[in-house]
Amino acid sequence: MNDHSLVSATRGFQPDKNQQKNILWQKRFGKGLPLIYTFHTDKERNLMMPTSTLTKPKISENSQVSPFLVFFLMTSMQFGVGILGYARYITHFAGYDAWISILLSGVSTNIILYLIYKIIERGNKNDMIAIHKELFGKWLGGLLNLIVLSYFFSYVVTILRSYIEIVQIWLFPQFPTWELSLLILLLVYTFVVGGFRTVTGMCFLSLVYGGFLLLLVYFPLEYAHFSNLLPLFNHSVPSLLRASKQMLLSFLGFELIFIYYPFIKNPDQSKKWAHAALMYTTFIYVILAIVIFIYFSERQLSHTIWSTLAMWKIVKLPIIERFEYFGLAIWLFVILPNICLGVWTVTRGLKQQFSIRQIITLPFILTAILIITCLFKNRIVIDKLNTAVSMTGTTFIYFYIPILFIYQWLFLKVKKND
Amino acid sequence: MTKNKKWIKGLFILLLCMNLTGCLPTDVVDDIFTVQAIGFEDAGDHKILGTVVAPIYAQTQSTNQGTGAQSQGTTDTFSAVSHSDKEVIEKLQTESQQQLKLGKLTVILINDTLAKKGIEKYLDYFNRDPHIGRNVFVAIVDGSTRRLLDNQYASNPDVSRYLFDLIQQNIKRNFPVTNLHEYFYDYYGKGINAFLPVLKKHGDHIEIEGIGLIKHNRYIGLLPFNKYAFIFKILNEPCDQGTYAIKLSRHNFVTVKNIGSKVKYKVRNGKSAKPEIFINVNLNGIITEASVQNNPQKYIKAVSKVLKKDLENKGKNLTEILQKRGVDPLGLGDQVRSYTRNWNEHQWYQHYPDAKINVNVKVNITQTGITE
Repeated sequence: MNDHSLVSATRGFQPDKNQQKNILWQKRFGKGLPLIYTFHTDKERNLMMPTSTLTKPKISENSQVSPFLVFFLMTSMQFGVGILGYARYITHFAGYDAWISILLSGVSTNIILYLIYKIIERGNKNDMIAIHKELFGKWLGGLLNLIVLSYFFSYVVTILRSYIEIVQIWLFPQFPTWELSLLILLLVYTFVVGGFRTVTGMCFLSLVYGGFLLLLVYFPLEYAHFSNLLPLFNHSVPSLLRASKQMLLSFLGFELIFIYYPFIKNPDQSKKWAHAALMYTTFIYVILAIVIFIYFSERQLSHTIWSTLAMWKIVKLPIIERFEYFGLAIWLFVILPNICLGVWTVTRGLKQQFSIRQIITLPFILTAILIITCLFKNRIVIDKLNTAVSMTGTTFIYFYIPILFIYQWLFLKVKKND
Repeated sequence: MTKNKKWIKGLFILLLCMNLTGCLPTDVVDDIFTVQAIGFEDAGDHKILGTVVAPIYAQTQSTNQGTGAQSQGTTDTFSAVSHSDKEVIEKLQTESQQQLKLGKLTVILINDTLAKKGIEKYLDYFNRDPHIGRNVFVAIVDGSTRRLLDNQYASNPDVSRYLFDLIQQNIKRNFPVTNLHEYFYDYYGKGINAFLPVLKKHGDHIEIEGIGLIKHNRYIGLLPFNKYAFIFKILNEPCDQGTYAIKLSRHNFVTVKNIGSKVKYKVRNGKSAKPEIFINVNLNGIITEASVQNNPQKYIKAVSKVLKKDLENKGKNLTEILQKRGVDPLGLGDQVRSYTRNWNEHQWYQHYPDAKINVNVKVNITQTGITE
């Protein structure tokens, strides 16, 4: 400690953390020893990293949110309809070793998230719309923006339509799709009109409302068959990876940070929360998957479409005989922020792209969602929609983002050398 | 946006919500018959006879006994003959005063002659319908389901309640855990066969006859309750209740109460033609009924020894029967699977009859009650 203050006193500036690390390192091993890795100061690192010439976006502090709320924005966006039935799809490839695949998905999404943050930081903390325009020009960039936004849009449609399907199958078979869709979308309208902060609040509440449903994993344990999980690693690595790819649909949603990043106050601090959010999601998915695996036998699970809901059937409470109806009603609050944030993102993206006010595009987007949800009539089509969105998501996450990352790096480097 | 506009918007949404309640059909408790038990039996000529029991709440006479007394409702029973189970339910609707609703179903009964022809097609409906819970008991009835259901029993006039309680309290004690979920777990499970309780009507009582063995969705045989239920339960799952009577000498019987037993499986040579399975049971018991003894320590030791031998013999007997019949309700195949890499179900069933199964029971009697 004294050493540092001495150094800083003589040089006349406060050493940052990395410099302190360098000093400690030298103190320990002597100055003569070559350093395996030099810890650069933030300034040095910034000089090394090529950054874009884009101006920093200006968002008034009134509409920004605290960095820790990124945790809620991410988790609530990830928990959607996928969690109600994901177990069946992953066991199709990796059997009851599939929980390992969930861990793999968790790790890979964390890496992708790191890349996303890097892309945004290099783009001088702009959102994806501006970065695309810088990298690919006005027309191609605009086209890419539209593709990405339509992907977000179809993501929202998938969630809404799947939820409506579940309500129609489990609760009210006579409920017309358009009616429920309209009702939910009106609710969405009232939230999205309130702006990003209201949507964030919704995300926070959804985790609180939906969180206690996790306690329900206690009930199936009465019928647990722990030997189902054995023997471990009974599946090949390729099948584990395929299951992990299948798992991605349940992990989608975190990439929306591409659009709402400028709305985070002190965004550098939000990194740890974002990674924590992904780890939390992974943790919940693994726990739930293990409970499902020990409750159902493998072939039984392959016949169960919504395994999580089917598992709630065994819940016995003195006042509620059939818990799944109650749980399904609560689930509205879990999917509501999904739709709100998705719709907000799309309108925000359109605003950045075409400079149209969000309040004007919002009714059009909602009407489009309403019409499209009504077009999907039965289980087979909805399943196809799910698969298509999942495929698009996989491509976007695992191919497009790394490519964008490398392209941006090359682009900025070439530009800098010019 | 002005305050006024927000008001209008809110009102609009509220109106829409009101509109919604009018669109969907509602089920008022007074206007439906909640079916609590359903039975299927063979009516000959590829037809089945379905019987449903629904309590009638509307006609319940309130008792004057005071607050504590529960009003004993009457039940209504309908039967109809048809070709398939769904059709039966449809036909029953035509007999019923109110709509029949299956949401509160607690017991599904299948007649033994029907069960011998195949069970799955009757249960598939209940697995598929989201309104059916999973804590529903499925049982095979020795004899007519209609005669069993259409009867007033002494202990409870509501036969569905009586059946439900009967099976539930036995599961807590000597009978292995069973319900609709467990049935489908076993039915779909690899290396497991399902089992169901078998019921029989005895005058104005119903009795559990034993464990019905099911192979390829057909009922193939019965394990008598008195002889095999206890050993089946302790080999199948951990349990902490149940009583077992053993014979010490000719006129000397002793009853041991199980206060906690655990079962562990070990498997050797899972993939070979002769897999070896070790079933180790650790049983803690207390003696509840015995003649007065001079030397309790010695007595406990003697009882433990006899009990151990008796249970091991029974266990061996049981597994031999199961192997002979080629059924595996204990899920031994599943245990072998959990110990064997690349386990193959088809191969296992070929090896199963030759598998060497060792039952090892460790008895630990902790006390003899408050008298010695």
